[in-house]
This record gives sequence, structure tokens and C-alpha cells, in this order.
Amino acid sequence: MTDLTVSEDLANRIETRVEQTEFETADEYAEFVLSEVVTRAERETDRSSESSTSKEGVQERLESLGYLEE
Amino acid sequence: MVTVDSLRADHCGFVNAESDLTPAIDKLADEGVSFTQAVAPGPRTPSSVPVFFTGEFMTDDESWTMADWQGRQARIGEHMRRFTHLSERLQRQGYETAAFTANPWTTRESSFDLGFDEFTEISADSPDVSAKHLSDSTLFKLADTGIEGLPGDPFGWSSKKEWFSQWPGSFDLVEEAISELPEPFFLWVFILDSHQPYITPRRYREESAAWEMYYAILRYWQGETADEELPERARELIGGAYRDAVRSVDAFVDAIHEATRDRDPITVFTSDHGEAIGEHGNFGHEQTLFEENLRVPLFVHGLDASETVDEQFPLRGVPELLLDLSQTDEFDPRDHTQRFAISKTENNRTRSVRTPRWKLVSDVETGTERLYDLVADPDETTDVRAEYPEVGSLFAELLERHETTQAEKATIEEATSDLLAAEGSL
Repeated sequence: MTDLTVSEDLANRIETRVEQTEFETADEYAEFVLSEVVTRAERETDRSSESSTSKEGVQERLESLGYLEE
Repeated sequence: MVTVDSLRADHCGFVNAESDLTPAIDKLADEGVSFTQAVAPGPRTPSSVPVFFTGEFMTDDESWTMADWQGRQARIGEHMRRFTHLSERLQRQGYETAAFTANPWTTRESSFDLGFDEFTEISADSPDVSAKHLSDSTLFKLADTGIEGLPGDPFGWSSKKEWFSQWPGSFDLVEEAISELPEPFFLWVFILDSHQPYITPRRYREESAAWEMYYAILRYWQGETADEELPERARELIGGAYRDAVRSVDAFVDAIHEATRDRDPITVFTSDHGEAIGEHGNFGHEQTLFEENLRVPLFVHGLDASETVDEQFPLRGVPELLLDLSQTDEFDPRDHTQRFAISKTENNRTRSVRTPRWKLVSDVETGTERLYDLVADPDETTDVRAEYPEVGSLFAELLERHETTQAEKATIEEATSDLLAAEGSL
């Protein structure tokens, strides 16, 4: 683990948001937020062109395995 | 990591001593660190695997419905792109990563390939494999070669090729990967053999003749379609067909253990969820949170340690478990056990919080809550909230805290989308 520094004001605001949640510390909250931002920024945003299976084929697979009866 | 679809914990001997279906699984579990109280985050693949691949539950989304399969798939894809996968975390540590998956929810389309150097989908319409890798069943070969043109296909087998996805068909590909992957490697194999319909190669069947197995399948589907109660004989045959499928899974575990022996790997074995065989009026994996749906087998083999852990392990902790196994020589399984385990159905409408003694199930749509004493009432038949109001209140508070956390994470997601859109990244 590596320490990052934030202002006291921001730390206090994070502490407020952490209340009543499963985040145990402000550090945990900040890790979650930064991880989401960085992960999504890193992602390629349009992967649809890489799709290698047909829509009909996928539908048939899900149907035959009983997932589409709802 | 080996994941088996729909394998109930109590059909494995290391969890339930009365079961003798899984000698290979039991041997490896006994040699390694086994968990007798592993709990899935959801009762189906879409509510379980995305969670234990990322460590995060999916965000609630009112616009999404179960009737829209593409929406369901897109929702999984969004979740998988939102969070870091366990495969990516291992890849960043220098692991060569490869996957073989037979489940249609864990595909490139739903972004499960992120973090894998090699990703193989095993399905009838996959470009990664040929038909010979799906099954060596005679019926499958007939279906694959155009049985629809023959007069003798009254049950429409030709349109059910997806049912024939048995591990022996593609095992040569898995063996090849095992022999070629440079170390360190992370290999994920997700097999479908114990998913209904339970079609098991003859050599692994001990209870069902072929006609009984296919009859059980057809009665199962007929019951599902007509929503009618199955006759006792059909229920027995379905149970027998499932047990034979579990025997086949056990043979797979034995085979992959032999194939990896020279590589001396650490193996994590689990299932994504359980399976109902008539309990609570259900067959298969319905959107319910009973023990038969949530309890799964879990063991770690290949460590210099052997013990049985009876504390609860929520599968949501799989990423941290794998990271820990990759980084430390002093593995303590109890670093990963949790007092409380939360599980949810895919639509987030039914939620539960569980300990080995208690489970509270909350149904948002009916506004009902039921508390079960899992020790006194393992079949979960009686709501004891009135007898144990303090337990019920505490568990309800935990669920509320979880939902508050999920709401906060949804707010973060929205804010992140706005931020990245403003930055031009989306």
C-alpha cells in the first residue's frame, strides 16, 4: 500500500459520506472512487466491434439453458 | 481456478459426509484448505460470477428488466468494464492469463475477456472451437449433422446443441494450454456439466440409463414450460441425472489435477451457485436464496497447508483470496472469512444476509422479511423473526447498510460517468 495525501477538508467530507455505509474508513472510500475512475478511464469504450458471436446465436444459447423463461 | 456451474455444496463429500459422489474433489479438499461454509453472492451465473470476478455487487437499475436478455447481458458488461477483474490484477503482477468458459454469460460480449491473454469460449457458435470440442455424444453428432432433416427428431434435438457441452469434448484444448502456458500463469476453466439439462457421458453415469437421462430432461423442460408439478418418478430421475452430472464433474477434477501435476499449481475450486432438486418446489436455479441455491463447494489445493475452515466465506472475496495466494507464503484462510454474507437475486429484488446459524431474506416486491434458524431448521421452512426479534433487527440493519452503500456507489458511478464524459473519455 502507498499513502496519498488529501486536504483535511476533503478528508472530512469523505468521512461524512462514509457514515451509514459498509466503507469502514475514508481510505477505503477513496480507494473505491479512484479505482473506479482510473479503471473506467483506462477502458476501451467501444468493444462492440470486437463481438465475435451473433445476436441470434447468443439468444439461442441462453434460451436453451433456461435463462430466458422469465 | 476451476469453476463448476450449478454444483451444490452438499453433493460434495468434503462438505456433506453422507455424499459419496466426489472422491477426487474430496481428496484434493482434504489435502488442501477446504471451506465448508462458502456462500455464493447470487443464485445464478449473472448474479454470482460478475460479483466474484470483481468483488462488487451490480448496481441497481430500475430501467432494466429480466425480460430483456440483451439488457441483462449489457448490464453485466457495464459492470465488468466498471471494475477491475481478478484476471487483470493477476496480469498486472506478471501472470500469463488464459480462460476457457462454456457459460454464455461469461463471454467477450459481456467483457469477461478483459485481463486474459487467451480467451476461449466453448459453445456451438464460438469461433474459438469446433463442434468436436463440445461433446462426443452420438446424439450431439446427429444433431450437429442435420438431424432436423430426418423424420426422427420429435423433440427438436437439432435446436438444442447448446445442451451438449461436456468437459471431455474440449479437454484437449485445456491440456494444451496447461502444457504451454509460461509461468507464472493464471488459468480459469468454467465448465457447464452440472448445469441443467444434465447430459452426462455414459462412462460417468451410474444411476441413469440414457433413456432415463433424456426423459428426465424432457420432463424437466415440460414442467418448466407448463409450470406444473412433476410426478415423483420424474423427480427421482432428475435427481439421479444431476448426481451423475456431479460424478462427471468429479472425473473432470481428477483429470485436470493429473494434467497440472507437473506444473505444481495452486488450485482454487468452486461453483458459481447451487441447484434445487425439488426443494421448496423448485428445480434448477430459480431466483431464490435458499441454502440449496447459495451454498457452494470451495477449496484451495497446492499449499503447504491442510485444514478445514468452518467459518463463512462469501465468494465475493474470491479476488482478494487469489491476490493473497499470489503474493504471500503465509496464507491464513481466516483472513478471508466473514461473519456476514450478503446474497442477492439478479434483479436485486430479493436479498439475504447470512451467518452459519441465521439467514434473513428480504423481498422488496412483497415487502416481506423471513428469518430462518439454519441449525434448527436447515430446510428453511419457518420464519422465526417473532421469536428472535433482535437477530431480525440486526440483520435488517445490515441489509439496509448494504443498500445504502450500493446507493452511494451508484452515485459515484454517475459522477464518474459525468466526469469522464466531460473529459472526453466516454
